[in-house]
Amino acid sequence: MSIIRSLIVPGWTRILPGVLLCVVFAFVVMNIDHMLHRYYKADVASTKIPDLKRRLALATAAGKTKAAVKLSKSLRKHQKALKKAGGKVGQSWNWATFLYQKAQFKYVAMLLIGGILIRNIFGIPEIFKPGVAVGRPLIKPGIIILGVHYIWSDVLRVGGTGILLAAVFIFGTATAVMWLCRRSGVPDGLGGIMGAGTGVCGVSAIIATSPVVGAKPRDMAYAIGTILLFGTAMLFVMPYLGQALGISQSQFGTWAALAILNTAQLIAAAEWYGDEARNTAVLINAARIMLIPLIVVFAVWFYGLKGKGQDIGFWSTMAKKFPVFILGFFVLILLNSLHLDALGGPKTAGTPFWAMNAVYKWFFAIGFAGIGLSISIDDMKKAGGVAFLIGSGAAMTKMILGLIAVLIIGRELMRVTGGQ
Amino acid sequence: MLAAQLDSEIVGLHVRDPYLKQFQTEIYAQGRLEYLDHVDQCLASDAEEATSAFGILATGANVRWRVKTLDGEPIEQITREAETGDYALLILGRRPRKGFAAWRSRDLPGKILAAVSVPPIMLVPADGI
Repeated sequence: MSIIRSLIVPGWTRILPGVLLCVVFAFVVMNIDHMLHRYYKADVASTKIPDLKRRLALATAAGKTKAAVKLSKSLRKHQKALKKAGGKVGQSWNWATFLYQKAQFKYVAMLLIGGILIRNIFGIPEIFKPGVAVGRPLIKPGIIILGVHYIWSDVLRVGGTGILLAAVFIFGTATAVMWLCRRSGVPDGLGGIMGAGTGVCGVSAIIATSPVVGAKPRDMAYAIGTILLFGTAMLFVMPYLGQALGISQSQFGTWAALAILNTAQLIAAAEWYGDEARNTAVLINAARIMLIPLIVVFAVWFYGLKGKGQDIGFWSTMAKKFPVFILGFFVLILLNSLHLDALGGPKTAGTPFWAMNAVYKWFFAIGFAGIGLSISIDDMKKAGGVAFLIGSGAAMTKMILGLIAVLIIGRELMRVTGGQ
Repeated sequence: MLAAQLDSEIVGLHVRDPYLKQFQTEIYAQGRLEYLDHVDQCLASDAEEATSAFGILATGANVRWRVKTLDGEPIEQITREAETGDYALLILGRRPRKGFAAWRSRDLPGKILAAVSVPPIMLVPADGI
């Protein structure tokens, strides 16, 4: 009985309504996303089928068997898509193509924009708030499961390059911000949290660093507001900017992982851009968040905080601030790399890894519902003071330098293959 | 001055706003307990500072005083305290803001003013009118 009791989260009744709200919101949006996707596919099929039929007839008449087989396969696929929507050739669903393809109005956008609108126009009743806050970290199990998309060569190539890039960006930003703050007479507490926040992963890094550097509440509110403001702005701007610039999925994933100030927004932007972008971004981000304890150690060293009565030694900081859950992600990568028949793969139907792959999007959807419903304009209004100046400078610099870096690196190096 | 002339006690309300605690659920937040402890310590020390500053001002003006510390959302707490406590007068301070600054401001005194039935006095800085 005590074992069962220990498995229950204390105060679970308080968080249940909010978590359920996130689940229901995610369920509704995922169904709208499926519907949009179905009509978009049907619209494409309706346009393509006559042309495919004509080309198939020509290929058959010319005796080009290989081409005919290929065209026939493609024709069947499109006919199936049309049938799913219950439509006929010549019918059009332009609105679905516009929303799904041109406006990129996919489940990520619906959850985030919908969540922001609900939160800021109608408000969220108090009873839902604790659970909505808990919804966000539900992205973590999704990230662990994503481990089945990688093999060790991906980790070494993409993760290795990514961690080098991330380290340069993280410590470059942190050093520049902390140094500039010190030169401008900004208090160490604010300089420390802004260095860590703009360097690593936004609010998560501020939470890890603020007790160590002794940040004041007013400064923390400024810093968190600023990070949320720029993280949210980048979340909505970067995917469209990436499309306009024509950068590839893997390049966008790398760019997002280097430039977007806050983690939640980083994952959302990459998932929005596409599966390959998300795979690259999540891997680099996994490498990046392992640097959280090091940025705390760096802040301790930079501000000479050792020996001021706090337990901030190297190993104790590493142990206290290390994101343990990320080990689960690497264990799954290891298991996927072993190609064990019993576990199968994400694309082998009916296997454990296939089943895990089928549920990760649900964790993401619930997490994104939590993120959208938590983005409050009132929080972002708190952005101000020196923190705003530092945040805007760091955000713009990282965005431009990150873009230059991914353009130099090219499309292939950061592409996750997953063994395919 | 008013309190001294009427020989009334003046009660300072200080609210410990747990606003920052909500961010502990950030996806990759590490050291959550340490963070919460830090926020609690900061709130406690701010309360002490506010009490002592209020005490110095009130004592200097020769007024009987005490400070009541509340926990929660400031507008909600002050409104509830003003309505349920036995207060004859509510004294608020307000710095008038325009444009973007007004949009950013939570306008705490304005919201309290709209919600309470206790007679209020709004103090505005001399340069603020």
